[in-house]
Parts: sequence; structure tokens; C-alpha cells
Amino acid sequence: MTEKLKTLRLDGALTIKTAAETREAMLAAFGEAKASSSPVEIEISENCDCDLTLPQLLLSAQATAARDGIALRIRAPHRGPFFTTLERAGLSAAFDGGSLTIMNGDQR
Amino acid sequence: MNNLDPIAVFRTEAAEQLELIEAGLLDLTRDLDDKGQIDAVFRGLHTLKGSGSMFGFDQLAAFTHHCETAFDRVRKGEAPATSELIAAVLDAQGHMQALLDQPNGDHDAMSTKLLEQLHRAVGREASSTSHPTTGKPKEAPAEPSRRTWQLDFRLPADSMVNGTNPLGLIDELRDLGECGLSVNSDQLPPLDAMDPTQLYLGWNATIVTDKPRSEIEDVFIFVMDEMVMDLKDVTPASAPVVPETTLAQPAEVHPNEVPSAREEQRTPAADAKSQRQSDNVRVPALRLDEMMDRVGELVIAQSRLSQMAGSVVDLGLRSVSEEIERLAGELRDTMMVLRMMPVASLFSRFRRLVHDLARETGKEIELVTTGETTEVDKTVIDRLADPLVHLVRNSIDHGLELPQDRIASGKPAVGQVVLSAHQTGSEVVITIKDDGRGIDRARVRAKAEANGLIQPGQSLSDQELLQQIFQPGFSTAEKVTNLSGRGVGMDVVKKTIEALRGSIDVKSDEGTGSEIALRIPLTLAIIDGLLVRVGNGNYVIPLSAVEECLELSLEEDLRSRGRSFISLRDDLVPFLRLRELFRTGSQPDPYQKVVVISTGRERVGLVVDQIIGDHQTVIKSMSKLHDQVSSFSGATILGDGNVALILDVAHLIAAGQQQEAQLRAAG
Repeated sequence: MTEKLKTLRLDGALTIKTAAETREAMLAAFGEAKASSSPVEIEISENCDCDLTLPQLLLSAQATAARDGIALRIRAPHRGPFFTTLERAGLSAAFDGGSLTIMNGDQR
Repeated sequence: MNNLDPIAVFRTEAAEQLELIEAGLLDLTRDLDDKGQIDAVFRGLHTLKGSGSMFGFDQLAAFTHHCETAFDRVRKGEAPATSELIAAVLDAQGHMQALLDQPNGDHDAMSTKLLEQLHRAVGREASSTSHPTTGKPKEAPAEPSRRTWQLDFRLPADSMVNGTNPLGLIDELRDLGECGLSVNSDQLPPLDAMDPTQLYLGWNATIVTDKPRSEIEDVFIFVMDEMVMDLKDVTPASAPVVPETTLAQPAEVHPNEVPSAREEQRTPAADAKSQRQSDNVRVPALRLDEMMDRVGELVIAQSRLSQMAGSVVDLGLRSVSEEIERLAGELRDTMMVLRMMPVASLFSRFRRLVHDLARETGKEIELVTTGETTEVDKTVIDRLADPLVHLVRNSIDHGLELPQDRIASGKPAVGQVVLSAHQTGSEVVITIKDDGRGIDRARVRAKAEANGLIQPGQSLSDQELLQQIFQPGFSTAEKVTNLSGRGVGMDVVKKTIEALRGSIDVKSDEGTGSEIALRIPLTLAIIDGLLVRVGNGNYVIPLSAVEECLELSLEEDLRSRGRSFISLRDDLVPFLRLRELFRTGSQPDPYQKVVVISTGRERVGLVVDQIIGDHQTVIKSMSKLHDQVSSFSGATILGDGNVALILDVAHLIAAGQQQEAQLRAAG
């Protein structure tokens, strides 16, 4: 069975106001991925507006994917609000050994 | 509720904090060793400083900082609590209010003066600590050693929803020194079970800083009551240990032995407070008023529904109507309770007033308050504040004598002012009583005659004479003092009370004191009424005033004609024939009813044609055109859309009593 990558691109406002929608989007992607046994990639935009709810959602997604046997990869740029939030919250290490890939430059 | 101005909320909370500080200081004037109050005052100052600084009230924060430092020394036993210190902080507390009211005003001169007074009181040279200034708060004496702190914290789960930015707090921690952070995500639920707006993460931080413990705790000052925090000094033993100064915790002492500011917040009182805070919601009074109006309209609509349901044979409709009646009644009762506040909030402000007046006048005064839990409508409380201030000032200035005069007349040196409140029926009675010299009738008469308020030698009852003090322009004080004696005030007091549909009674015995009783209706919006018919008109009698209903037989009616008294269990009660009073021009019903109403001891019977039943009455005030109509206190709309007038019980009783007096006089 060939697996098609499910990509969820997160952009724009990713704050507490939109956190419920973001969670729904992640759950939907997980649901599809589970049905088709395909891996999921969450891609964080460099220009997104984010607060602490986003890394918290991603940490939960990481644990949920591990629980459900879903292959998850999170790609985030090495600059921009998401990266700053991780740094400020002391969260960088929390993703260690997990699915987060911080990309340098335009690496895709 | 989302659009509340945070600055306005801060002001309200700061004003409450200032009241708590004041109450604590006043308690301390009685018992200087009360550790609990010393801690409470310190906590209040600490919170005020922190929140003031956060909301940009820099002058307030800077000034409060010095008071906090002074109290911290007392708290730690480094300085004694003296009456001089309490007086200095009380003065400072008054100034803090000014700094709160006018954050950008020029307060430097007053701040400096008060701080010098404070530093003298706390027993150290002003120069030996941070110099009095109104700029940014001076740092506490720098702690020469860098210490290592282990801080584990978990913010309240709803902190992000409530507008707290955890990242901001972490940034503040970083500003204190070197800060290593790790996140604890063991409470983070899986994606399908989490509420993404809640905060599930906790942090473990290691902070190396020369700042004292209190500054680390201050970072969390606004969430401290609800968060979990463990702060330990883990400075390696090899690090130099330097003797503690003012604010920092001694390293030698186990953190558990000396309560930190945060741990003190966890006292039972603080816990109770935090519980109260989390259980309460601030709602603008205006919204309560709007809701009250809606409930009033609902009650009227329900009343109409009830009448319509009663006129058709539809059990289903009746059942729904009864259900709605019950719910509307409960909603009305709940709404009434929402607006009620204990008079304690009113009485508490008089402690400071009495304290200040005692100092100003050289009189020794004890303020006794009773019935603080009595609840009154918020509007009533707000509008009573100024009249009560005036009455208390009058009691102290005119009533109470100087200690030597009191002793000379065989009284204790300490004069007493008693503020009390109690509920009787639908009224609250607030009394201000003093054991001073009482009202000098001869002087009242002379003054009233001199001012042309009464004719020379005019015959007046004692009560009428005493009521002269409420006349505009009246004053018996021979000299004008700061407190009273300007001839304004008492008439304003009377007008305010009457505007609340209340009344004032004065009792005074020369030589032993005076008592002024304010009778105020409990609520201004809805009452339970007894609906009666007189002629073709419907009227509402406030149910709280109704004692009983009797039938007036034709025989008794004829027998009593001309006398208008009925015998009620061997007691003669005067009655008024409302049909005659209202000139309905109709024939009386064969079986008339007497509704006996009372206020306290005085009773009057009202003869009506028919008693229709009880009725929830939404009071609609009457127009200015009807100002002169004294038999009615308002109007209401009945279920069928008709208007019924609400009888003014106090006025009718007075009329009945007057009729009784005339008949008795006529023999």
C-alpha cells in the first residue's frame, strides 16, 4: 500500500483565539492519516502569529501520534514567532527526540 | 463584561485594598502587637505596590514601597509597632488614595513630608534607607551575594484565558538573573482530550540572582493565589553567606520556618479571600438595573398570563402559567438578593472618620457598630453614605463633650457613638446614637425664632421643635468648625432620606444624648402587595405593612359611624374609609373589609370594598405632576393592563393617628 503524506500547513493567527480550530484541524489530519495509514506532516509558517497554545498543541499532537502509531513530522522555520515562542518558553528541549524539525533557511 | 477597562478595575481593587489596609491599621491602634493585622497590612501594601507598578501608577508604587518596607521591618521584629508608626501609615494611606485618584498630579511635597514622618516613626534615619523620593521605587538594600533558587511552578489552568501571558512572566524571571528553564508536560492530555485554551505545562527554573526572594515572588503576584509554586534556596554551601537585610530571607533559616510573602498569602484568611475572589464576578450596577427592569416587565407579563389562564378552561395552559409564575417569582427574589449589600460596607468607613475626628477634636470616642450584616439595596447604600457622614460628624462635634466635661458631669471620659442597623418588615432602620449632651431645646427654639423659621413663642410639640434642625439654614453651633456648624447639611440629609422614600426620627434627652433613626425601604423596585378594590378602582397595599384583614359588618359600620374606631382584641384601632378619602362617589359594598396596616406600634384600619388578593407589584414612580398627592407612593400595572395606585402606608397611618388624636381631643 502506497502511503500519501498528509500535510497540514499552519499559517496566520495561531493563538488562543484559534486554538480550538487548530486542534480540530490536527485531529482531522490524524483521522485521515489513521484511516489511510499515511504519515502526517505539520508545517508551521514563518509568518504565523502564535502564542503558547501552539507549541502546547504540538506537544500534545506529538504524544497522541506516538500513542496512535501515526508517523508525525513537524517542520518549523528557524526564525519567526513560533521559534521565538519556543525559545522564550524554554520549550525547545521539550520536543527533543520527537518529531520537530527546525529548518534552517529555506530548507524544505 | 469583556470590555471592562483594566485601569478602572485596578482602581476599584486598589480602593478595596486601601480600605483593607485602613481597617487593619485601625485594628492595630487597639492592639499594637496583633501579628495577624501587621501581616495583613504588609500584604495589602505589598499587593498595592505590585499592582500599582504594573498598571503604570508609578508614584503610588514608589510611595507605597516605603510604607511596605517600614511595615516589613515591623513584621520581622526589627522595629516595634508604635502608635506613631500606625498614625504615620494611616496618613500615608490617605495620600495613597490621592495618588490613586490623580496618578499624574504633583504630589512630591506631600509624599516627602509623609515619608519623613514615616521614617521618624519607624525609628531610623531617613538617610539610612532609600531616600524619600517619588521617583521609581528604590531597590531594597542590594543583596551582596548571588543566590541560586530552584523554582518549580505551575500557573492556573485558566491563566491564558484570563489574559495572563505565561511568556511575559518567564521573561520577567529571566530579567532577574541567569535563568535555566525546563518544561514539565506530564499533565498534558492527548489531543482528543485537551482544551487548547487551558494551560497544562509547568516549568522548573533555576535562577541565579542577587535579587531577594520577594522579587522572584513578585513576578507571580497576580496569579499567586491560584498557582502552585515551590521556591527553594539551593545556593551551594560554599557560596558566601552574607547577613540578611531588609527584604531577603535569611539563608540560615529553613524556608519553612520564616513564612515568605507568598506563604503568608496562604493564611486561612488569605485563602478565604482568594476563594471569595474566584467565586465572585464584578458586574456594573447599571447592568443590574437593566436586568431589574426586565424582571419587572416579566413579572407584569406573567401576571397578565396568569389572569388569562384563569379565565379559560385549559389545564395545560394553567399548568404552564403556574410554572411561569413560580419561576418569575424566584427570578424576582434572586434579582432582589443580587442587589443587596450588607451595611457593613457602609459602616466600615466610619471607623476612620471617627479616628480622625477624635484626633482633631481632642475628644475620646468609641465607635460601636451593630447589625452590620443587615442587607440593603446597593443604591440605598450608595445614597446613604453622605447623610450618614454628616450625622456622625454632627454627633461628634455637637453631641459629644470633651473628656473633662464628661467626667465633670459624671460620664465616662470616652464618649460613645453607636451605629446600628436592623430590618423591620420592608424597612431598614439605621440609627446613630451618641451619649453626649443632647439637643438643647432652648437654643434650637431661639435659633429657629432668630432665623424666622417659627414665630416667637409659637407652640410646638417636642418632635416639631427637634425637627427644626432639618430646616434649611439652621445651625445651633456657635462657632463654625471644620466638621460642622455651617448650617448646611441637615436639610440636605433630610431631603436625601425622603428621596429614598425614607423618614428621619430624632430623639434627644438633654444631658444623656441623642438618637437619630433613619427608616429606609429595603428595596426601591418591587414589592409584594395586597390588591384591593375601593369603588371602581384597584389599589395596592404593601403586604409587609398588612397585619390582618377583617370583615366590617353593616352593623359594626353603622355603630362606628362618626367614631371610626374598631375594637380589635380590646384595642381601639382607628380606621379610614378609603371610599370617602378617595371620594369615589360609589355605594359601599354590603360586606366591606378592613385591612389593618401598621408601622411598628402604630396601627390603622383601611376600609375597602373588596380584597382581591396578593399581587407582585413592580413599582412605577409617579410623574412630577403627582408630587403633591401624598396618599400614594407609586403606581403599578395590573395583569389586565389597568393601573393600580400603591398606597403610602406611612402617610395613611399618620392620617389615621391624626384622626384618632382629633377624636380623642374632642372627647
